[in-house]
Amino acid sequence: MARRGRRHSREEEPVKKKKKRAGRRNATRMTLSAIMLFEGTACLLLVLRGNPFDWTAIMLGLLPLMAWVSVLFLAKRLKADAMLVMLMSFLCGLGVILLYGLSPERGLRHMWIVLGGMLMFSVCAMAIRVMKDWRGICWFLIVAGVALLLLPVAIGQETFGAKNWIIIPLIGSFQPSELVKIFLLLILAQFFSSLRGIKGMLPGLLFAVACLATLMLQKDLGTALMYYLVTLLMYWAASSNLPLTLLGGVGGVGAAIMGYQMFAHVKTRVAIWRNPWSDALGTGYQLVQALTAIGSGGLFGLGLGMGKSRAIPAYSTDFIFAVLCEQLGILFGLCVVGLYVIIVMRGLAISLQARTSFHSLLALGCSLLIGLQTFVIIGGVIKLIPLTGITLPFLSYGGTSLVSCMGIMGLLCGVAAQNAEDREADERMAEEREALP
Amino acid sequence: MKKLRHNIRLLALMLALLFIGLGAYFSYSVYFYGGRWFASANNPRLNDQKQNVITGDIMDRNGLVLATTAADGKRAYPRHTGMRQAVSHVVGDSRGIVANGVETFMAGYLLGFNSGILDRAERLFSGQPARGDDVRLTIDAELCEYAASLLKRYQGGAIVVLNWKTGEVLCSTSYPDFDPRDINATMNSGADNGALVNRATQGLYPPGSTFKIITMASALDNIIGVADREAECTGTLVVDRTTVTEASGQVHGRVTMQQAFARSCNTVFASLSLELGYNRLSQTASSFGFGDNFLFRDMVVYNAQYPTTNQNKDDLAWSGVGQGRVLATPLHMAMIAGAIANDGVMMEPRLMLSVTTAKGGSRTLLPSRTYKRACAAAVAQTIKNYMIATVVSGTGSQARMDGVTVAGKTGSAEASDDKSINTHAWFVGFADSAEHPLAIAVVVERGGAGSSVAAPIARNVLNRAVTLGY
Ligand SMILES: [Zn+2]
Repeated sequence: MARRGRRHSREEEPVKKKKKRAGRRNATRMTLSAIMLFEGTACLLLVLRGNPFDWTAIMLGLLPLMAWVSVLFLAKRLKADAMLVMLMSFLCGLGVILLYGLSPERGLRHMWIVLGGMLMFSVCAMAIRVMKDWRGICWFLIVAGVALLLLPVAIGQETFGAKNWIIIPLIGSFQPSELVKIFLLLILAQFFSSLRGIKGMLPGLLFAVACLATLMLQKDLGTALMYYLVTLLMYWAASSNLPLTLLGGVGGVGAAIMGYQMFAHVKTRVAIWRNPWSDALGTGYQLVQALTAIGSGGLFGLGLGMGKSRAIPAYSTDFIFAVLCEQLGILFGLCVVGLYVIIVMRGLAISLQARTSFHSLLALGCSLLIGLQTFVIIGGVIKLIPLTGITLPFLSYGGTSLVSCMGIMGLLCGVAAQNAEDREADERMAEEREALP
Repeated sequence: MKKLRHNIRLLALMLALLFIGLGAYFSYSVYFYGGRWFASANNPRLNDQKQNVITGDIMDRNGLVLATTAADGKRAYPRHTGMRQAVSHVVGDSRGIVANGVETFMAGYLLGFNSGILDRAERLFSGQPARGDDVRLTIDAELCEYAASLLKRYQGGAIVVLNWKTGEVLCSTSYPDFDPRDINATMNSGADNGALVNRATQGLYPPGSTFKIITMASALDNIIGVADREAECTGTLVVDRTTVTEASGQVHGRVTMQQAFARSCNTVFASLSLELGYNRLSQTASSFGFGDNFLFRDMVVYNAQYPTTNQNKDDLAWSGVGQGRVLATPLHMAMIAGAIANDGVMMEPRLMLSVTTAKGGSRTLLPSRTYKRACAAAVAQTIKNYMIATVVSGTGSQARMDGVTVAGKTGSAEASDDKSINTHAWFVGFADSAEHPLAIAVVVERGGAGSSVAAPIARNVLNRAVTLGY
C-alpha cells in the first residue's frame, strides 16, 4: 500500500511541483498588489489631508515602488524568502505612513532610512551566502563590537536616563547597541555551533557578558534585556545544558532585582505598570495616554492621520503601536501582531531547515530577537508587562534600529537562500543518481 | 543537530504561547477596559471633540432633560435647584472633575464617537455642525429629587433604588451634593465634605448588620438544620481578645434563627461566623460580589472589600456582623437585596435606557443581563422570609408600607472606634411584589440607628416609587 502510494507520487511529482510553484508565485503577486494598493491609498489620503493638498506626501508614492522592487527584484536576485521580504517591506511602509501622519519630516526621513536598510538587508543576505568561513570575521567582530559599544560611554550624550547614542557627522544620531545586535547574533551562532562544548562557546559567552556590562553602564536596560534573553535562549538551544541555562536565568532574575533596587527609574516603571492611573498626570502620563489612545481608536480606528496621537509622549518610538491602534484600529493592531508572528515562525522554519548548526542558530537568533523585541515593547504599551524603552521592529522611528532590524532580516533571508541552494543541490544529485542505470 | 532542532521547536512553541498570551490579554483588556480608557478624564480627544461637536442631551427615563448644550455652547442643567443637585453626581460634569459621571463615562455617545462612517461622511459634506447622541438614563429625576430631600437633614448619605428584575437603577442620589452650574464654587469652598464624591457608587461603608444577610446565607448553605436552631443570647460573646456585644446592650434570651435575624442579634451571628470559619464565609461573601472587580457596562462601581488575608477569630467574629474591615457601596448593597428578592439571581445594574442619534434613530442596546447567581433559590427564600419578619415585627418595623410587603434589614455600622461618634444608619431591603420589583439601600452617615433613621426614609422612598408607578 505504502509502496504503491510512493510510486504514484513520484510519477506526478514534476507536475505537482510546477503547479505548487506557480501557485506560490500567484499568491506572492496577489499579496504584493494588496500591499501596493494599501500604500498607494494611504499616500493619496495623506495628500488629500492637507489644505488644500499636501504635495510633499506625493513622495510616499515611492513606497509601493519600493515594495515592488524589493519583492520582485531584490528578493529574486538574492533568492531571499519572498514572504519575509514582503512582510518586512509592508511593515516598513506602514511605519513611514504612520510617521508621516504624525510628522511629515520624520516620515520622509524614515523612508530614506528604509532605503538605507534595503542596502543593509542585501549586504547581510549576500554575506551569508558568499562567506563560508566566519571564524576569523567573528573574532574581528568581537573587537569591533566592544569598541562600538564603548563609544557612547566615551563621547555619548544622555537622554531619558540612558546614555546610548552618539552623533556622527552627516548621518546624525547613531546608536551602536542596535548595530552590535547583528554582530552578537553572528558571533553567538559561530561560537555556539562549536563542537568543542563549553570551551568553544566561551568567547561568545564572554562577548555577551561584556556587552551586557557596557549596556548596563549606559543604563540602556531595554537593549540589555534583549541581549540577555537572546544569549540565554540561544545558549540553551545550542547546548541543551539546562542546569547552566537555569543558572543564567537565576542570575538574570537576580540582576533584575538588583536593578530594581539600584535604579530609581526602574522602580517607577514597575509602579506605573501596576497602576498607571494613580499618577495619571505625572509618572503614569505616558502609559495613560497610550491606553486612552488605544481605547479611543476602537475596533476600526479613527482614520489615518486622524485622532490625537501626538498627545502620547514618545509617540514615534516606544508608543508607535498605540498610534497604530488609535488610527487604524485595534483589529488592525492585532493583525500587525499576527504579521510579526508570521515573520518569527517563518524564521524558525528556516532555522529548522538549515543544514549546519551555524546557519540554524543564526536563523534562530534572528527570529528570537525580532519576536522578543516585538513582544516586550507591545506588551509594555498595552500594560501586560512593565514598559521597557525599546523600539518596535520596522515601525518605530529610529534610524539605527530600523537598519539593524532590516540587517537581521537580511541574515534570515541569507540563511533561507542557503537552504534553498542546498536543497537544489540535493535534488540535482538525486536526479543524477536516478539517471544512472 | 537533532537536539538543536528539538530545542528550536520548543522555542517556537514558547514564542507562540507568548504571542497568544499577548493577543488574549490585549483583546481582554480592550473589551473590558477600552470604554473606560476612552472615557477617562485624561483623554485629550474628548475636549477636542467638544470644539467640533455639540454634546448630546442627558435625559431621565421620562425624557426630562438633565443636561443639554445651550445655544452659547455651554452645558445647561434643569432650572429647578433641588433636581439639579439631586442628580448632580450621576450626571457628573463635562470636565471629569466628578469621577465617572455620565458626562464622561458615556462621552462616547454624547460626543458622537459611536456614529458610523456614513454619518461622519454625510456631516463632512453637509457642513452642518455635528451633534452627539442623546442618552436616556434609567433614573427617575423626580424620585431622585424626593430621595435627596430626605437626606438634607443629615451630614451625608446615599439612596439607591433598583428594579430587581432588570437591574435598572431608578434612583441614585448622594448627599452632600453640588450645583453643576457652579462646580467651581464647590471646588474652591475648601469644605472637606466630599461633595463631589458619588457616595452611591464610590462610598465604601462598613455594612454593619446588613451584612448579616450574607452571614445567614452562608450558614443556610453550609450548616445543615441551622434554620431550625434556637440559640441563647446573653448579650455578650467573648472571643479571644474581643467581646462582641449588642448594639444597645440588650439581652435577647432564647431566640429562633428568624428572631435572631429580625432583632439583629450580634452574638448569635458572631458565633455563627465562628462556626462557619473564614473560608466558607469569605466564599459566600465573594458569591455576593465582595472582592469582585465590577466591570459593569453602564457605570463604575467601587469594589466591595472583604478581608482577603486569613483572619484571627476576633476579626472573623466582627466580620460576621459586618464590622471590621468589611466595606461595601450602597449600590452594591441594593444589588444584594435585589438578589434575595430575585430568587438568588443578582442582576447587573443598568443606567442607560436608550440612546437616540441626532437624526432620531436609535442605537441597538445591550439587554439586561444576570450579573451572577449569589445564592440558591431556597436560601434566598428563607432569607426573604426573615427579612419580611424583620419589617413585620423586628428592627425594620418603620419601613412597613400599606399594600406592599416590604422585606429588609437594618444596620447601625460603627464608623470608628470612638463610641461618641454616631453610627452610620443603614436600611437594605426590597418590595416583595412582582408589580413593584424595587430594591433599596439607604445609608445615612452618622445618622444613628438604622431602625429609626434609615428605615423610615426607605419606606418614604419606596412609597413614592410605587406612587410614581414603579
Ligand atoms: Zn442578642
